Amino acid sequence: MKKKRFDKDVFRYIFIVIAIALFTGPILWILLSSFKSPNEILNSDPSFFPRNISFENYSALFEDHSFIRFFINSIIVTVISTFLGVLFGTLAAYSFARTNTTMSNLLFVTVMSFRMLPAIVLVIPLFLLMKNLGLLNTYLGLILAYTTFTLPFAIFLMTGFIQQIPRELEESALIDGCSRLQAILKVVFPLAAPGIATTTIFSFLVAWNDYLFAVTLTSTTKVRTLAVGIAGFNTARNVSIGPMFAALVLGVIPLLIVTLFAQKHLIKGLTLGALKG
Amino acid sequence: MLEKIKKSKMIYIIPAFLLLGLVLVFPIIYSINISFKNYVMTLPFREVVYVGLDNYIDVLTDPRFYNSLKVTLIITFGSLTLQLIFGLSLAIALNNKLMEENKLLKSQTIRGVLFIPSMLMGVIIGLMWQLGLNPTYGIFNEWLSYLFGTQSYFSSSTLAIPTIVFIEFWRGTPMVMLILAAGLKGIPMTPYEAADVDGATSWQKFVYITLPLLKPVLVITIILRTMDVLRIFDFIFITTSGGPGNLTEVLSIYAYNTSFVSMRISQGAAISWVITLIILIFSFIYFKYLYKRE
Repeated sequence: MKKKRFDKDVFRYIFIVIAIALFTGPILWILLSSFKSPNEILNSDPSFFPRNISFENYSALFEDHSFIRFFINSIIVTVISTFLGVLFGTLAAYSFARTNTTMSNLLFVTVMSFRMLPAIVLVIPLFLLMKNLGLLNTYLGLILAYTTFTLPFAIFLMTGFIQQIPRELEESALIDGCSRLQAILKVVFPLAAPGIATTTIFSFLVAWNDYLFAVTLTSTTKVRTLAVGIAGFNTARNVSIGPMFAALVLGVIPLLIVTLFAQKHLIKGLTLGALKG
Repeated sequence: MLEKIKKSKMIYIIPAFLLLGLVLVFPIIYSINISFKNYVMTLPFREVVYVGLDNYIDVLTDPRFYNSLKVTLIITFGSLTLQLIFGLSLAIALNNKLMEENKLLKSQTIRGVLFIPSMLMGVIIGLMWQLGLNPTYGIFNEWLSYLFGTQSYFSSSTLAIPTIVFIEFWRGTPMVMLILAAGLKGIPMTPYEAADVDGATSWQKFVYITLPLLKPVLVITIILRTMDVLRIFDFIFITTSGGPGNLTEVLSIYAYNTSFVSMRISQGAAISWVITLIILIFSFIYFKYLYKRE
């Protein structure tokens, strides 16, 4: 009996190790290769580990300042659209969590149905509208486009979180003479902080990872985001392959940091988003 | 008085709804409207007129549409099957007392590490695999060459679709694993203990306890992942842009190419609404036949 148990666990561990190799191997190879020299990368007998450590790819990447520009653009657009989505979304979520009328339920279902729309449906009219309004190649255009998903998502997640906060707390604040908005800002928002953190991280990730909106609504280096910038390596003929590895690594690092430090929030956001949807 | 309070509670949706009206509702109406016109980006604006259902008829009689529908369905169900099998196995393998307490291989940590592919940008996933599978310097192509010989995985007419199914499997499995792991945690221990008393095998426990109790979560996972993969765009656009020919042209790329490459934006809008309709039909079927039967 004991022997059998042991066999089963060995099988389990082997399976898990294979899974780890499969799901992290490609990322590791890119990371290790980014420290190879540009010539070693192009070697037709590729190795997993670098034979010599070199930082040439990174220095070449930063010599061309557009990469830093892309990075900053991504941060500006993502942070503002996430902030707008979470702020407006949390306020709206308060209304939805605290009312139960036919009208409010209908509006909530409408917002949720927006989440089902594929991005391609929105990107076509947004392109035309922003072209007419002169918002192509602007931060504002991209920020507005990103709120099409950060806002419904925030309303959805935050409604669930605020419903769990007892009404009595804000009601006692109202009795103490707070206006409702004050009660929301001073009582509900702090109590909903873990939920706000989850929503923020999730919205940030989705906006950060977007490619379709960014590639359609921008065409100049000035406002292009990281996703479009990195994709540009694939088509730019004057860029060598080496710096592309470095660019991929720098594109992955923010996500790795988020996974490491906000893993609980991510898992919570994902499972809530999945299980309650 | 009560009405007044109720009203004052609803006013906080105003900023959100003003913004949604501007960025969502108005574009949706605009898009439906142009899908009934003959707008081509190169056409002078005064020649734009309503053409009724022409765009929709064009789409529904276009072999390219049916090709992209077929490709999308193959990728969706191919990768989804693999994701469910592998994701469920992983979730079960990690849902284990020994693993939860193991310091070196803690389940929580492993789940975090395994989750990384699901969080990456589609662009990065695409380029990563394109480099790794490059026929000259890609290490995975080199390793696979012992099995299949050196191949151009993205431009081969036989391998392009399996390659994309695999990448979608690679990207989606961690997410499936994570949702199912949360579902497994919700299953109580008592039925398993009772089954142990009766001398049930692991396989019997899996079939008669785990699967039925996990069914609601499995169904939601299937719905969620299907909706996601039906609108797949990023990494396929980066790696093959729908090629070779239009072999890997999924629905979203077909709509994108029609709107922004061929510039027939009205027709692109019509395609995008057909895609939405397909997604709606799928969610309807799922809810009717999977969700309600509990």
